[in-house]
Amino acid sequence: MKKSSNFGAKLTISLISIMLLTPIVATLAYSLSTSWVKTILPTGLTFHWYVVLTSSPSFLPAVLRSFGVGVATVIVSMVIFLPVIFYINVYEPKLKAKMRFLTIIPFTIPGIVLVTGLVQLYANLPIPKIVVLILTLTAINLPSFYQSLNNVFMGRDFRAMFEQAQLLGESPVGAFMHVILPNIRSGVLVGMLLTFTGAFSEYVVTNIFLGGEFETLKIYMYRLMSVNGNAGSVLTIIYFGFLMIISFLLIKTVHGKKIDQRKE
Amino acid sequence: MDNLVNVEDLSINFGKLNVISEMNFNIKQGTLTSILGPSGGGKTTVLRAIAGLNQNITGKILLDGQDITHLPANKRNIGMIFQSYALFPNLSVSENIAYGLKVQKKPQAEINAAVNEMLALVGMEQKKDTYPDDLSGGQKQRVAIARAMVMEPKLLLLDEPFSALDAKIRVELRNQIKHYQEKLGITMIFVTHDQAEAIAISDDIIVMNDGQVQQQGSPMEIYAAPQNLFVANFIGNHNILSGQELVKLGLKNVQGTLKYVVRPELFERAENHLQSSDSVAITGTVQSASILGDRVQYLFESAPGIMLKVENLNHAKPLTVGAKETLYLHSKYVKEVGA
Repeated sequence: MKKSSNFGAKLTISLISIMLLTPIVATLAYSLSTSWVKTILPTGLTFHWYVVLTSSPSFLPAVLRSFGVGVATVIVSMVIFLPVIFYINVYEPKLKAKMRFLTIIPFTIPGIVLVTGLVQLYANLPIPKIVVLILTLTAINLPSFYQSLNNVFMGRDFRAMFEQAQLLGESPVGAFMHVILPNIRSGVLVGMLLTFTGAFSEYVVTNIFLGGEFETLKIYMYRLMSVNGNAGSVLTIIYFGFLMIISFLLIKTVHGKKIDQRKE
Repeated sequence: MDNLVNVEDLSINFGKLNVISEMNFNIKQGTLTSILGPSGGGKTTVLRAIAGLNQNITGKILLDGQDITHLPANKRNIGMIFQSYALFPNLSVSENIAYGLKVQKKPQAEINAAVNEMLALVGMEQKKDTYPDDLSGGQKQRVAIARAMVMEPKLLLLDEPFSALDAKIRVELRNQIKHYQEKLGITMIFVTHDQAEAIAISDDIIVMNDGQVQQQGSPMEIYAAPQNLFVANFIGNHNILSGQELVKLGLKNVQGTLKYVVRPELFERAENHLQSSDSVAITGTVQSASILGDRVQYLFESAPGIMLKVENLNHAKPLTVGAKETLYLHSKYVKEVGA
């Protein structure tokens, strides 16, 4: 009985893995193929499309733009939301219900509605569009940032720790930097990585908001795929590899956190 | 003995709610004073105001003659021990103890010497490199005590520090706290809702309720002569009787409209009683007996139908449940209390 259910589980996992991996393997194969049109397998393998893509004048600027948007969104999230989440968790836990409601809004409003609203709101204000974009991405990524940090504040009396540090001579800022921050490090790191990934890979809002004026990696990827399928596949693989590294870092971070919790 | 702390007309509001109302009390230098009262009575709020963790106050707090009412917590030189220990989980035991000295930028050699001295005092030398998550509750509280005391604070505040610990460790630690206080001469304010704990270790007790001081005095004063019904109810297990009830029991010189307290251990058996014109004999039936460890508590229904709590030491000759007995009460043990 146990053996058969084990087999069933293994079979299910194998089928799901094949389903998930097939497109990636196919895209990788296509990015390495000389030609793959009327045959079952590619007619030949080459790194030509990798060379073509990486030597394209549009590639590096697109990577840097996406990277810049990701880093800026993380910084803004940290500056705006980290103190707020700390304050709510430590001094005003009653506000957590309102905060949870706020974090649901990005899920409930479609991207197109959000962007249209923001464009109308900020159209006549002298604020650069890129700033509005960063703030929008910060708001969109609030749910993951909030949840990562909110979880880490549970289970310890951070208020007492914060106050104890001050009684031992620290200023409030010093107490936050030297006592609170080191003890919420894993949550902050997970929140930063999720926010960065979300902003780095965002397409809808950026495209509608700035479009051709500001070609990020994701916009470049979609444009390239309509022009050159092989180069588009190369970009997809590079993009996938980058996200895999981020995911690996996340797993490492969360795993480390679980070990810490087990110690308790 | 000089006062180290003077609290004058302290009032604290949380929004529209008045939590502390024009409170006045003094703490003598080098003593351990307990603030005792039920949960929600404002004890911790007062402690936090003294520590500088609640700045939204009116009135005045003086420490060693200096007005510290609006001084930030990090400038007061007041230590505090929290119920949740508030140890920093990312630092080892010795790093936790050294934290405040490092903030003060003391020389490393001085820090090491002070930390080692504190580790020895609280018996945690073997655990100096251990992290807080790997310590028991009692060990964590020892580290918290060491971390606070190494700063040589003018005043050490303890906010129900033993509430989360089991009874045996609690008794052991409270005795140690008293020992450290006497050895180092640190003035301490100890917040607790446990009257036995307060009576056991305090030089002075402030009984608080509804944001006001009900009575301040030595443990014996508080126990033997409660000033009002709240203190009488909260401290000990006193019989609270009206003057009319005492008249029915045969006592004279009491007024019917007033309230009086009689401690349960002050009823005498015939064999211990010295005949006196100031004492009355009360006959009645023993309704029940409860063993309280070192004492036995009886519910004794007197002939006029007034129920009395009577306590004897456990080794004394027991009263028999259901039997008729005669107990004696001396009028000097009957104390009038205010409303």
